Amino acid sequence: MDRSQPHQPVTPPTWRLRLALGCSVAILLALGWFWVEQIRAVLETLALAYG
Amino acid sequence: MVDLLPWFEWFDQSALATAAKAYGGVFVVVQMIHLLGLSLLGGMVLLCDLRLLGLLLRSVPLSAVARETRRYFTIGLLVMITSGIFMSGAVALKLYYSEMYWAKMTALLVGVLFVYLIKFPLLRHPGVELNRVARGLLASASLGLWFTVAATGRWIGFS
Repeated sequence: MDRSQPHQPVTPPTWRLRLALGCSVAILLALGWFWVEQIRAVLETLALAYG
Repeated sequence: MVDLLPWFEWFDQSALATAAKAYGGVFVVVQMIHLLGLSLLGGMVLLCDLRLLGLLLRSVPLSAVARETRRYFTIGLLVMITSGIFMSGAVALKLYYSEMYWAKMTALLVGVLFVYLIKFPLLRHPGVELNRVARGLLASASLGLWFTVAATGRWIGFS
């Protein structure tokens, strides 16, 4: 990779940045919900077995 | 919603599935190749996302890291998909009824779309600069997605 010629800083188009941030937040929320549900199911199973 | 059960039943009876069930040695070798593909893909995800978080390769431009990792990410993904189709032939019907299989497929699809339509296009411009929050969100979403793909994939084996 060529590191000899530094590039001028470039800010990506606003719409692309907003799309990326919106998708990232949506993905993080969905993943958070998914893993919380999985942990809740595991805890319920443990409670049934040992509670 | 489209019911994919007939397709899975057909796949379960296919020559590919018969081969996957009949030859345990071949299955194990393909499984190893699948894990190598996952390692390559996971390595590229870690390189790119830890660079986004500013934890490594800080002297290398973000666009260069994204460009270099994209190539091997694609190779890892193709290896995983090809070997994964063969492996799924051995347990096609089990997979259809596995909640974790569908969770993995969903995460995989979203992960591929996110990488090729969102992350790499955003980082491809030489000299691209993102603020700390944007880099953190992008890397967290990517790491979370691929962690989920790997974890749910392993979970299938125990469910």
